[in-house]
Amino acid sequence: MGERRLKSILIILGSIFMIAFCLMPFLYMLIISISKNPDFLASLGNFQFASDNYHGILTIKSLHFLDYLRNSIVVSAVSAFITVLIAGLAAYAITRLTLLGKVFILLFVLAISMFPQISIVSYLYRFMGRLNWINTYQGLIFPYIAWILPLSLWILVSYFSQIPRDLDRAGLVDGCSKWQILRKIIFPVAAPGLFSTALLAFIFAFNEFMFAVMLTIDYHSRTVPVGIALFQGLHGEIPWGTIMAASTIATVPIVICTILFQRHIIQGITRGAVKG
Amino acid sequence: MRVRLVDVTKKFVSLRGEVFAVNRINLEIKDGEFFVLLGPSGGGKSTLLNLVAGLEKLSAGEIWFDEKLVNSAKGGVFLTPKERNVAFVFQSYALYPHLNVFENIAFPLRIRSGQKITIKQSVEKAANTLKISDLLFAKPKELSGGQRQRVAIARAIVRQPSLFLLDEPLSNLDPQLRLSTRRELKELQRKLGVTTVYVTHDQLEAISIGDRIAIIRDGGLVQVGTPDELYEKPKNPFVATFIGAPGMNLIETSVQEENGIYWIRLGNKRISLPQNRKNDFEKFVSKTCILGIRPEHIKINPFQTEQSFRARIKSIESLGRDELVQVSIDDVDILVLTNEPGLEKDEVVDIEFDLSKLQIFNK
Repeated sequence: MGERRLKSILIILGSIFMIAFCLMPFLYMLIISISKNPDFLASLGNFQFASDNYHGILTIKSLHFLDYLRNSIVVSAVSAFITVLIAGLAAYAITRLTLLGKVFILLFVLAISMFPQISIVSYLYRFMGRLNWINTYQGLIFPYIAWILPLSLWILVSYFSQIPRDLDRAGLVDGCSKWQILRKIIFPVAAPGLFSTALLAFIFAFNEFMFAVMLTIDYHSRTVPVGIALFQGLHGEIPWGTIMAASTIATVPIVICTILFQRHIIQGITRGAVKG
Repeated sequence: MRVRLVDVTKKFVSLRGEVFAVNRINLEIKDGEFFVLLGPSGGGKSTLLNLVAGLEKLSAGEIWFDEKLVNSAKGGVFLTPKERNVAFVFQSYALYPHLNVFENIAFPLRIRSGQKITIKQSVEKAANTLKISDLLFAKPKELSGGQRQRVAIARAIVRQPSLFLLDEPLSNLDPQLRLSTRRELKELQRKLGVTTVYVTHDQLEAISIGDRIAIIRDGGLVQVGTPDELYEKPKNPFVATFIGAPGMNLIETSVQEENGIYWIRLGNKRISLPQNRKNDFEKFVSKTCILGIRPEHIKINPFQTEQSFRARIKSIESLGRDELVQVSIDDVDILVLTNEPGLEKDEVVDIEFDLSKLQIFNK
């Protein structure tokens, strides 16, 4: 009995430590963002509550925070949607068609995604410059799709390959065309997988920094990560309070998405581990 | 509907080369018949069913539904399962997990864009037939294996198919449920009168459910016939051992002729074969051949007779009502099905074959 008890205490202590370790920066961010005298490394001794920072970033036009947020959400959502659409179709084809060398397609896609982002940045900049797409949404959306697609494809291929082939065949016998099988059977059955992939794609795009810093110029298309990084105070000082408040708000969309779809995501991630 | 298979061949090409899953099969399935494809796993019977369904395309040959050509490799004719109006019950049931029972059954009707009211009526009728009316709003994962199976069958009958195809539909059920479902399935088929092709590897199932059975092995057709024909007149040793539980005893021997009487020798004793079956044995004279005799056609005698063999009991296995006794005549092991009481291991007994049931095969 004693051993079991000790075990559960250790597990609880361990969990608390892990959670504290992971959430500490967020907590710190939150505290700084609501303190009256924000200072990055200040002790928390003379903490005074103030909502100035939030008020500031939400109302001061010249900070353009709301523009950044809008840009981020639009770019990420569109990228995620298109990525999942393409990856869904591709995964269906790869898992369902008799193609020679399927594995090579998948490996090739994976190989492409292994290039570091920085290696294509200069080329991408010139490319977008020629297209006059610098500082536009599509200038970000297209590279994002290309960048997130391999991972999405891999996730969906593994997901689709767990959907029994008999379902396709049953659909065929019941009179479906290939499109109807995809639309009425495969996509609904794979909904948790599609959701979690879309969310992952959204988070990837939302957090992306390098392409965004290269390909955007101002608030017309600049995304939140870049916007926050380039915040500056009036006299060149670093406005920690504003930065922290902006960071806190920037996490909100992702947190909301995760909470809304958490059931789907967990299903999506653990599916296949246990046979239904 | 009548189904005719002409030289039906399916080969799969893989990196390891060509494999003939089905090789030149000719068959005719009569209208309203309950036809069973029976054979060991991997023999090609499921592939054959898929070809009939239109889930696979022929590599060579033709398939006819009545007077309509539905697939011809040479003529480039291929009708989809939808155009063939076939229904299929899968071994895994293949219910749509995201839809409830009602929607699962209604699915084929919705795809054909039927009227809402008629869909409801048809679904309810099919559900009534299979006694699952109380489950209509459950999701497949909430159902037991037997219930899922009923839903799968309901989905198959709801649109009145002209051909009903079942791929090992009972193999995921527990034995008792399997027996009762088997009976219901047979009844249902009689009632609906729809031509049915049923795939199984279980010979007992095949014998009890099928009007006729085709035995498929290594992609080829071995024998077609009614259950009785297969049981009594197996074409070769494979069918002889595959049909019946336990299968037929096979004994390698030769037939000798002496003064117009045919004899066979087993161990150091020979027995005469009945005169009225002379024609059956004639062509095997002085050749090595294989005798087949079913365990249930061997008697354990209390007395030695002219036609009996001395045998020693090697093992006894109780099957409930009967006992399965393994005896050996010299080096030849033979299984005997008997309800003789009081047998013991290592006992020496006399056994006698029912010679009217004796089968003889080429080696």
